[in-house]
Order: sequence, then C-alpha cells, then structure tokens
Amino acid sequence: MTATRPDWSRGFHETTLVCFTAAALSGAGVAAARPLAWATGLRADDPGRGAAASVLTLICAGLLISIGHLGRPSRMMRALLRTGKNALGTEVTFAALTAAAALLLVCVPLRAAALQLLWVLASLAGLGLLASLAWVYWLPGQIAWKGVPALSVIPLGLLVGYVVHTATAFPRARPGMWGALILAALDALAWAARCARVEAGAGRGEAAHPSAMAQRRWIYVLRFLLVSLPPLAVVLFDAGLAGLVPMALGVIVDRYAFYSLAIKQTTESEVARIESKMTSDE
Amino acid sequence: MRGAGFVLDLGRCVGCGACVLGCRLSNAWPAGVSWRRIVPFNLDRRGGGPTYHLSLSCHHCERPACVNACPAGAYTKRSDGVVVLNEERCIGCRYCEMACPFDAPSYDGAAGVMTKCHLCSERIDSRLQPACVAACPTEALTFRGRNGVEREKEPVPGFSDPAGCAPSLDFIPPRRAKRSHLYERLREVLKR
Amino acid sequence: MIVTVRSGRITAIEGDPLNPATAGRVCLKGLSYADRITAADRITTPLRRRSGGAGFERVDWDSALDDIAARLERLRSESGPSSVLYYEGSGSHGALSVLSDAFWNPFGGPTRTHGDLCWPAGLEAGRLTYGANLHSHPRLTVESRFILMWGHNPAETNIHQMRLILEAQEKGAVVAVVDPRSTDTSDAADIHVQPRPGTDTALALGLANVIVEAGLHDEAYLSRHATGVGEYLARAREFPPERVGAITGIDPEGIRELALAYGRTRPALLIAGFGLQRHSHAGQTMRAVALLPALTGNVGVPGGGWQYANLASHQLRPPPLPPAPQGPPRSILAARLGRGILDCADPRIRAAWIEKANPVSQHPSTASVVRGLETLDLLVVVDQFMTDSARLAHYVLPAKSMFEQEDLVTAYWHPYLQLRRRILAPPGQVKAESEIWRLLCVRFGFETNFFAADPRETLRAMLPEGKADLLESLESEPVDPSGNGELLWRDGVFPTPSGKIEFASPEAARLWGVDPVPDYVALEEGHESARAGRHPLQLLTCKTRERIHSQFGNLEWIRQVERPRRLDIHPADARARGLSDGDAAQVWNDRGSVRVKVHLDPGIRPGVVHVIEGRCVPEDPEMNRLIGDGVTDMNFGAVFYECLVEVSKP
Repeated sequence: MTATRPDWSRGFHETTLVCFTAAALSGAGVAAARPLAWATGLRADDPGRGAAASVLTLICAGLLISIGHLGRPSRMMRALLRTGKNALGTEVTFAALTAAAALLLVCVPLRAAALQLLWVLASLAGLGLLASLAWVYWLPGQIAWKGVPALSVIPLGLLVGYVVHTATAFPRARPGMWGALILAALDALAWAARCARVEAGAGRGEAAHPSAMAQRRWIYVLRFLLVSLPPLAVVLFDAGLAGLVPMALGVIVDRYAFYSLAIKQTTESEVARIESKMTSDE
Repeated sequence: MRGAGFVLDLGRCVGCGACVLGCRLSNAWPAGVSWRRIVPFNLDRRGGGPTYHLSLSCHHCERPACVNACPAGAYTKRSDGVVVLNEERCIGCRYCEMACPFDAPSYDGAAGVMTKCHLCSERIDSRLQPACVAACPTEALTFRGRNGVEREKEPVPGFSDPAGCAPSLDFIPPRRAKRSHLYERLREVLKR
Repeated sequence: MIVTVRSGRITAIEGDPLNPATAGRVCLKGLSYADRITAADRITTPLRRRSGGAGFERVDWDSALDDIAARLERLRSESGPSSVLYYEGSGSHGALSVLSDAFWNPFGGPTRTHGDLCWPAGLEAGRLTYGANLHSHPRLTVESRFILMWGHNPAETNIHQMRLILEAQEKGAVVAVVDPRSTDTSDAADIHVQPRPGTDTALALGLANVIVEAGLHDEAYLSRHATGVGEYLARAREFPPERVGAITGIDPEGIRELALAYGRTRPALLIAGFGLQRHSHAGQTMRAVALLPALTGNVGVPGGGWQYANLASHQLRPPPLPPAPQGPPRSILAARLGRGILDCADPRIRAAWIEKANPVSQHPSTASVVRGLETLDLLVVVDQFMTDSARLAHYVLPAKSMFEQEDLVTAYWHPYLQLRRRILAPPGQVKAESEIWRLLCVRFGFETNFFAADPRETLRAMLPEGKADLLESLESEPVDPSGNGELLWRDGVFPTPSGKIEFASPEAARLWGVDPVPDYVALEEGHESARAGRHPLQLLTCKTRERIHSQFGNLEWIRQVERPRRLDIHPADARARGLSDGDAAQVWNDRGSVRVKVHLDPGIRPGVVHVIEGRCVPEDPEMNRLIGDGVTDMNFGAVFYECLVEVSKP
C-alpha cells in the first residue's frame, strides 16, 4: 500500500511566503540596523527619510503579500488573536509597529532628538520583528529550520539594513565599512551553517521539494554570491543603490532556499532511515 | 487517564486501505485532502522478515503542535483528548501544516482552510465508532475513548516523535512468529 | 452492504452485520463504489464508433438498437445465428443475467463459450473427490488449530477470511502457507514453503508420503469413507521427500516439517486458492491437494476440512424462458477466445456481443484475442467504462452498476444467497442489461412477457421449489438456502459415484482421460520443459486487493492508495541480468514483449517473477500478451500461471 501524501509535499506553494518574508526581514533589518550604523559613523541628525520610506514600503508590501498567502484573506485580522503566545501573531504585531514607526519617520517633521528616539523605537520594533521571524520557524519537526537557520534572519536582516543605510546616507556621513564587513561575515557564517544543516539533514528527514533539493548546490553558491559580495561593492566601490539590486535578489534566493530546502522529520523518513540501516546490516 | 486516540494492532493490519476509504467516504474529503494513509514498513521484505503496515492519521497528541502553532486559535483539545479543528476559524495560513511532524493537517485548496481528522467526534459522541475503525475488516484499528489502555512503552520501529508532541497513538506489537522476529530485530537496530 | 443514499448520492457504505461471514465490514473496493458509481469516465450513453475509426460519438438508444438489430438480423439470415458469439463474463452480474436467453433462444442460438478463466479445474477436482463443492461455514475457521493455505492469499483476496485466520492464530492456531511468493498472507505464517509453480502435485503427494510413513493418516476414517486408498498410497510411496525436494526446489526437511505439523495437529483446515489451478495439470493438482484433509481425517470436523469453493447458495432455478434451440450450441473455449473466433467456420464468427467481460485485457494470448475481434463485422460491448475491449467495439452500450437493478446474488465462500436492492436510478441513459434484451426482442418481434415489469416476479420464480417466500426473508437478511447447516460432511456421506471420497476416480479417467490417481506430470511450459532453456523464468500474475481484474483500477479513490505495477524479481536473478531496483526491463517470450520497471523482491522464489494482474489503465503492462491459450486438464480453465519468460535490459 503506498502512502497518500498530504498536500505540502506536492509542488512549491510558498511563493507568497518567500516574497513576504523577504520584504519583512529587509524592512525589519533597515529599522533594526540604524543604531549599528550610528555606532559606526552614520550621523545621528541624518533624518534617514529614504531609509524610513524603504522600511514602510517593504513592510507594507510584505503584509499585503502575506494576506495573499492566506486561504481566507478576509479573516486576516484573526492572525492577531493570540499575539504574545503565538509566534505568527507576534510577528504580525511587530510588523505593524515597525511600519507605524516608519510612517511617522517619513511623514512627521521632527527635531533631532525626537527623531533619534523614534528611530530607536523603530529599531526595537524591527528587532522584535526579526526575532519573531526566527521564532515562527523554530519548529522542532523541521530539521533544516530549527536553531541557527531560523535565527539566520537576524544577521541577514541586519546586513541588508546596514547596507541600505550606507547606500542612502549623505555621502560624508556614511557608516564605516568595517560594520558591513562584520555583518557580512556573520551572515556568511550563518549561511554556511544552514547549508551544513541541509547536508546533514538530507538523509534524516523528508525533503519538502525534492527537485529543488537536487539542485541545492547551485542554490548555495548563488545565494552566497548575491548576498555576501554586494555589500563589499557598496562599501568599497561606492556602488550605492545599484549594489542593492543583487542583494534584493539574494534575499529572495535566500528565502526560496529556506522553503524549498526544508526537511521535515516524518514517519516516512524514519521508516526509510531504519530500512536503510537494515540494508547496510545485511 | 489518557486521552482519546487510535490503537493499531500491527499483527492484524495487512495494509488493505479500507480505513483510508472509510474515512474518505464518511468525511467527504475535498479534492487534494488526505486524513489517513498507510505507511508500509519493510515493503521489500529485507532480512527475510515481513512487511508491516502503519495506518496513520492525526494522533491527537497530548502536546499538539497544531494547537500551539495556530495564530487564530482554530484548534482546541477537547476534555476527552480529541484535537478538533474549527474550519470556520481557520485563516488558511498553513502554519500548522509546517509545525505538525505527523502530516495531520491537510489543506483544502478550494475552501482555503485546513482540515484534519477529528476522530469522527460527532460519531463518537453518538456512541458510534470512528469511520476508519468501523471500516477495518481485520479489526486491526480500534480507538481509545475516555479510559486509557496500557501503552506499549518502547518505541515502535519506524515511528518517532521528533517534536515531543506525545502522540496518543498506541501500538499492539505483532505477537506471532515471523512478524515478531523482525520486530525484535528492529528494536535492536533502533537501539544502536 | 448497507448503503445510504441522500439526494441521489452515496453517503455511507457499511457492511451488513447480519451477514455472519463478513461481520459488518466491507473491503476497500466495496467502499470505493462511492467513487465508481459517479466516476467521471463512466459511460452513460450508447456510443458508436465514428466512421473513419477515430473515437466514439454519442447516439440515442433507438438509433443504436435499430442498427444493431438490423445488422444482427442480416448476419442471421446470411450466415445463421451461430455466426454471432455471445460472451458473458463475471462482471456485475446476478440471477437476472439469465434473461439474455429470452433473446438468444428465439434468435436461434448464438455461438457460446464453455469453461472460464477463474476456477473450473478446481471445481471439477472437488466434485470428483467429494461429490460436491461445499464446505463448512467460514465462522468455523476460528476453531482450527492448523490452517494451511495453498496458492491462496486472503490478505489480498478475501480480507474477511483473513480476519478469521488471524483470530484463529491469536488463539493458538499454526498458520502455514504454500506460495512461491512472499505476500502479506505469508508474512503472518509460521511456516512458509515456496515450491516452483506447477510442482504442487508432487508436493501434495510428498506430504502424503511423510504423513503415511509417520502413521498420521486416519485409517479408521479412510476405511469407512474413502475408496481407492490403496492405489493412492502406492502412488504416494513414489514421492519421498528427497524426490519431491528435487522437483519442487524445497528442502526435504521443510517438506517433512510441514507434513508432520499438518498431520499432527487437529483440527486442520486446508484452504486452496484459485492460483493453485491455473496451469495445464490443474485438475490433478487440485485432486492431490484436496485429498490431504481426507487422508488426515479432517473432513466433517469443526475447524477442519477442505476449502476451495462453496456452492451452497447456488440453488436458483432458471425462470420461465422461451425454448432453447434444438441441439447443443456451438461453443468455443473461453480460455482460447481469440483462436476460437478465428478457427470457427461454417459459419465463421462475424459478430460478437460481449458483456460483463474485458477479453482484450483479461484473456490470455492478447494478440489472438485482438486479431479475432478485429475480424468481426459487428462488435457490441456492454460496459461501465471504456476498457481495452470497448475500444475495439462498433457499439459500446452503457452498463448498469449493481445498485441500479434489484437482483439475487450467490456466493462462493459463504453459503448465503442475498437480495441486492435497487437504491439508485441508472444515471444518464444507462439501462439494465435485461432492458436492453427486452428492447431487442421488441425489434425482432420476439415474445417479451419473459421480462416481467417487476424483476421480483422473475426472481421469485428462480428461488428453489417451494421456497418462493424466501424473497421476503431476503429483504432483511442473507439466507442460506441449502439447509446443509454450518458443518459439512459430518455424516461422511458423499455424492460421488461410490458414495465415498474418491482417492482413485474412474470418473476422472472417463471424463477427462487423466490418471485415476493423481500423479506429478511436468508442465509443458514448466521449469523442466524445453522452453525453459530459452525462457528460464516462471511468470506469475497474481491478484491484488485493490482491483478485481480490470475493474476499480481506473478510480481515483483506488489510485490514491494502490501499489505501482512492477516486476517483482529476486535480487540474484536481477543481478545476473544487470538489473537494479527501479530499472526498466523487458519481459518477453515468443508471444510478445512487455516493458515493466524492476522491483527487487528477496521474498520471491528465485526463478519466479511476478507482476500484479489486472489491466485497468493504459499504463498497466499487458502481461497477458505473454501467456498462451492453453487449457487445463479438466473443465476448460485457463493456464495463466504456466508461462515462461526471460527478463532483460531494454
């Protein structure tokens, strides 16, 4: 008797999630990374309207897209019902808070001190959003997600955010390049850990999307090139906004990798694991 | 006192699939939805041993991943232990599907909501058996109501609980001859 | 079955708890009827082949039947009524199927078929040995202490029996299986021997040899209730375990172990499957096996005996029908349908009406069946779905499902006659076959009063003499019309020519020209034959729970749970041919070649290969292409399991 497979293993249906999380982590990262940028040279009185606008746009776009993921979009407000106890609700709440702060930063003319305070609040909200994104995917049955892979949204988001601030700041008030290098290194380490986790997990669970899993090495390399190299270009060669284009693609590839290389520990995978142990014993 | 759940006699189940179709008929599965499946173990009869069959559905866990995962509170665990999904509350985010290590929630693409085995809660409330149990021609599949039975404490080869959900699924191990020889050997394999 | 219908849709299917044999359950095929009745590909209107041959167009009944009637009449006047072949198989049928004679008799009598693809050799063997094919009630299975299943796989083919066997086993019964393959049934067995296909007569005589050597045969019972025992024992002496081991490929110690266990444990039940008799020495094989329960004194004992077929429910009489034509009808072998059609002359077969059957998929020697059907001027196929046979037809007429006409059904394991109610209206333009016959009779001007307006009248007339009021009982529960009781043969009286169990059967010799005492004869297409030099692997195509032959496999409900069609081959045989698991392979002999994917199966006997039987969808391999149209030594059965092939890389 063959098993009847439930729907999740047939076809890639997480496209909207890819787009939503790409936008959300980027927006969150821009907000969260501002204090880091200040610490490395960004002028505190730079209002950063451009950066705030990007936070607002990214998070609003992300939220809109996420509604498109829902089977029942009209019921979207129920996602907030268990905020605090539930990762998804908490994530949406932090997204709303970050977007609200960004809206104020864009629209309301404020003095320097108030501006800084608002940015601090926005960055806390953004950090909360990044942490929630990590929490959501910390699922014990998901071999390729729990632990470092789930947490990796944080260094990725911060890296993206930092580069946005670098690209959008006034030329002589830019944050220092070593901030970008450190964040890029952290992100690259996290990415390496994720790739290692997929390699280790491949035999222990069931790949959600076997066709993507078969191409995983291309995905490993592509993501690295698109995410880790552009920050250097932006910082070293003043590539500016142009450097953000490959990074944007890189974030999307990263999110695609996250869902397409998911590995779930299922009863089927356990059965297969034990059966292959029996074969190797023969 | 243990909550409600299924009990599968591995010595009686021959993987015939009547439970799957019995559930499908009684619960009118929408297209693309599946609430029960058979996972064969050792289909290739390695080691001269038998195949045995796992008929699996929702395990109505003691610590259900779905209940915790749902942002909209669409899942509830009844006092008798049955985990029920209220499709009217579901927003179709499919998070429970990612969280459940047993593939119990199943997405109904046409309706945009999740669906799941509810241990035929209306039937059992009317003192009937769940449709799968009623359909099983060898009486391999039974279910546990309000009073628990002693659980097979050791892990059944091929079945695990990666997320610590404490599934309320009991197995009666195969007792006779060839089937139990393999079973013992599999336990050895697991221990290593 | 208890079927609930709401607003014309089936919403529940449950077993009838009043049937003691099935105990309130149905198998997955029974449940899949909820899908089958309304399947998207069900044919619901008459179809006519488009001129030019490509595909079918829908037509109304009047156009279809007017044309068919005109063509049949022309054929009859040009070539005589026997130029039309009428072939009815074992699809969704019941007692009312006999009403086809209300048309064919006044038509003058078509060419018919004799024999069938299922079980006739075993039936004749049972009849010759015990006088009748009857056995004790299935319920008594749980009282058995030893259950020997020979060529039988109830985990797939009789799930209700499997429940009883497992229950008996849990109470301490030993379960033994004789099967060249490993199956879900043999998985439950305590003893499993795997002989070469076609060598079972030797094995049976070998078991008898050991049993008699050990003094485990029941001499008292044999002296009172058996004849020909002396000749039989002389034959058994020729089959010591060493010789039997060489023939069957089983270790002689295993033969001894099985024989002693079977001989020592009482009551012991021996259940033979149809698989045991699908070769050219089937009748003698079945006799040899059927005699073992008699040898060991297990007949007429609760939990003991021989089980193959139970015809207790087959008590119906024909209803009033028009007189049959004079003289015996021309008849061709069902097992040799293609060749039969091609060989008929004076008149040759120019038309065929095929109902409840799918010969292109299911008969052996597919190429000859197709050749035969393609010569016809008119082919009418009546079916629910577009089968391989329907695809060749000039007209495809939609067939009813079993819920769409009231009828009486008999059984072959339990003794119950059952009334099948009409619970659904035939969908679309579907008509019951009896209505199709009536409409043809109208066109031919034949008498139509044999077709009662209410089928109940006909059914009542078919009940046994003096039991017309059984019909009312049947409305609420199954009825055993035989009056035999639950325990058969307890009185030790057998309706054979001698009144006793016939170990030597002069009747067998007279009717079929076989040895009065069964003997092992190597199969013409067996492991010892000349053919085996070129095609060394024995092919089996066994039944599965997910289908009945070419039925059910097209349903989505079944496709969701069914196993893929693979060539089961022992890893050693595969390795020797450079084949690995999952590889495409050609399975071939001089009759044809079929491509199937390999599945390594350490549980199958080396030298034997297997593909699941039944062709429902175009992707299913056409295994019957490889199987010859031989016939069994008795009673005109087919030889599906006597087939040699080779397997190689494509």
